[in-house]
Amino acid sequence: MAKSNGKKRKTVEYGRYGYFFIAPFFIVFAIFQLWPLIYTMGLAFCENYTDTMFNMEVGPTFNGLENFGTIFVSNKGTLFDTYTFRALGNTIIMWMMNFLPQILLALLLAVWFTDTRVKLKAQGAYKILTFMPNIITAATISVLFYKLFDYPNGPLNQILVNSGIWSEPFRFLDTKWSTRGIVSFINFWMWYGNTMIVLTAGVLGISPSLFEAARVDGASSWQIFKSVTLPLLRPIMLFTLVNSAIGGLQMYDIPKLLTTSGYGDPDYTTRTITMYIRELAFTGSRQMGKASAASLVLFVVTLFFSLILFYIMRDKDAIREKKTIKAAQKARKEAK
Amino acid sequence: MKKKLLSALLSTAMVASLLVGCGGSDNNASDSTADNSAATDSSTTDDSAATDTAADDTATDTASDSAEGGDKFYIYSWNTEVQERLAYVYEVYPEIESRIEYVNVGDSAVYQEKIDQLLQNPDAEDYPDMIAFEAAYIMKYTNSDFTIPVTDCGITDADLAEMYPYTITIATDQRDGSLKGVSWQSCPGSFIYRADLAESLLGVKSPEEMQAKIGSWDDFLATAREIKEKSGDATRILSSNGDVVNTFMSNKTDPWVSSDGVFHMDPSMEEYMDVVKTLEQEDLTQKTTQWSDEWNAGPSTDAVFGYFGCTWFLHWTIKPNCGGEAVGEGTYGSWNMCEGPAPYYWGGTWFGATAGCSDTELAGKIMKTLCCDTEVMTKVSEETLDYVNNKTAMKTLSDAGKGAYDFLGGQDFIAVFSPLAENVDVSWMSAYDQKVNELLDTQVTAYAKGEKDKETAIADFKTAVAEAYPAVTVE
Repeated sequence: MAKSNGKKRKTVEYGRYGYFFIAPFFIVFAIFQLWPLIYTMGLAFCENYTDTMFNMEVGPTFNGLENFGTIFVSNKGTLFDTYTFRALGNTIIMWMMNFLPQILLALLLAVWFTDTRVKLKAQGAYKILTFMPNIITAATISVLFYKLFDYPNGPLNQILVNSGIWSEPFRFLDTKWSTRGIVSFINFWMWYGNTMIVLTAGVLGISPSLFEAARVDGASSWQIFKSVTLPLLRPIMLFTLVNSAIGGLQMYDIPKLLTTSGYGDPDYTTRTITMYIRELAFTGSRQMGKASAASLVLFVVTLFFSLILFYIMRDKDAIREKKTIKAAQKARKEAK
Repeated sequence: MKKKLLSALLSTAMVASLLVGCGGSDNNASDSTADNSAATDSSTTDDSAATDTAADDTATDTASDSAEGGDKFYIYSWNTEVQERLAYVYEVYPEIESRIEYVNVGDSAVYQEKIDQLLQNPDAEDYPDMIAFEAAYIMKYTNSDFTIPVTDCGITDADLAEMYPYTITIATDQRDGSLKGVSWQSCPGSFIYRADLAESLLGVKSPEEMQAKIGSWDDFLATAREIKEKSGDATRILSSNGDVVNTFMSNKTDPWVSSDGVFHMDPSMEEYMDVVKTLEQEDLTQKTTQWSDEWNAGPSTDAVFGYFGCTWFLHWTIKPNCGGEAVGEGTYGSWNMCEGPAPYYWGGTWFGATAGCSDTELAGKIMKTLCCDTEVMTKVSEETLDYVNNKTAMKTLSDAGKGAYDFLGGQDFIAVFSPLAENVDVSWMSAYDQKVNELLDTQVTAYAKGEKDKETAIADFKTAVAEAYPAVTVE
């Protein structure tokens, strides 16, 4: 029986069972990601909102680029002077404010922790400590900081006033730059541990013999960092940067929960683009069309930032090498 | 051969359980804000459904079983208040208690979003049969096809006779004049102040004298300065700058958006901006935020002279925060009420049946018992101190001397509120109130702090309104 069977079938096709196993992902992806994505793109070109007067939905009807018009041009006719771009600006400012110190500190710590010469003690404990804020949910941290910076009798105000540093309490969460600073700080504090772990893994992936060789050649720590660690860390750095750009531009939970009204106090200066999109889509007139258009703008901006990062972080040596090879091949062809 | 069969079976089982899983998680997501017991219920049903599919093919049967929950009668609200009042309905109709599924959305800020989503799905199991509305957004629902007239639930004009007129005006559909919601309470507002501080700081001995000192906004500000000065900065007239907002909003002459969709900023709003700015710049309040811990702590100390509060505010905001539960403890007993610079009302909860209400008879029963039955309402008011929406009930209680309130040092709160409730004017209300007030608040704060001049603040406010409501014409 077994023999004749074997003769009939030349190959055993296990391959198609594989499709069953990957099907769940694609089904879920198509339903919950792909379709909403396509639908959002469609809605961005439609008029679709609820008229509050009689709570009736308008649309969706195609209206071309009208949504984008209201996103790019203010009612006074000024380009980019709209709530959308102000929200986008807030997001980029707060992202930069947390991202630059975050990557620098994470890089420094990653290098220190992996340095075979320094050999820091109790690394595990410190790594846990830096990673801790990331484990606590953003909501909890927001409430914690909200209480900490409370006016007029939050702990920080009490310390500053009672110790005589300030004559009267300061409205931390009602002042533009202090609120932005606090939002950025929380994001920095929550995420530098995570970035550090990723970068540490990246540094550990570099062959130790390279560091040793450099050291034998008499390179200083800075030279090793600059010429060995950084270039070889490039793929991991690219991953971290792009990840952070995507995460940073979608910043939502901290600014949403930290401010009293939840709409980016004071005067919308901490309202991020995702908060704004949500506000458009679910409050007031529930303007799905415009919210979709704003989401598309966010998508394009994220893509733009990611591409810039890809461009900056490209492997120049590899590209040059490729070019030389191509040139050589071309030359050989022509010679023939 | 066996192997092939087995693997085919396995993969079918896996895909099947995946699909069940999908449905299950969907249910859970929509139920997640429901109360705990409901959430547990649905997850247990899902679990058993999944087990069934793995065992044999009875999945479809189980699914239809769990869908039969449609027999339940869903009532949505944003806190426990409605639930507590429903207890009085259960006393009359004990048999309905098991059918009613009370969903407390928990946060009045997300309540509308939640309801809006639920109303889009008339076929969903948790589609609301009845919803509660707050005054700030009731018109959004009563002026729509999402709610049905209460006459369809068996409420007659005779049932409405005892209600305060404004509670009916608010809930009337402006398109055809049909009544879409009823309320069991009435919420006229007053200025609630510390009688002992009034006497020691201002030499005021009675609510009438106090009223004379804060009869207009100019007088109010003058008194605020006097309190600040005489107490040596220890006491402020209000806790937060935002406390005055309801009084101003209730005294607009026109709604934010007129019936033809044109936005209109009432001139009194400029006075509002100036009053808030004066309070802020001259440091006349504690500068807290409404509903914050600091603000809630106010009634138990001498730091705050008074609050603008209405019926429910008196019983459920100031009283629990006064630092005591009987005369002599905390500030209990040392409060008084007077009308304040202008009459106003604040909040209140209405009931409405939805377009897809599964049992209008039951909805009618609940409405009739809680909002129209004088006997039940008298009892509600007597036991909970709620100021009920029933003239006879309130008069009976007042005549019986039940209004004398030890928290107010024996002052009759019903006697203060009754004339106010009769005269509440709601012609200024619109479906846009809550959101527009929020937008205005942002600009008023910026103006009060001196970050913007008045023209910029008003212009920014109008831009924000135009942004939030594309269908509204803003100048």
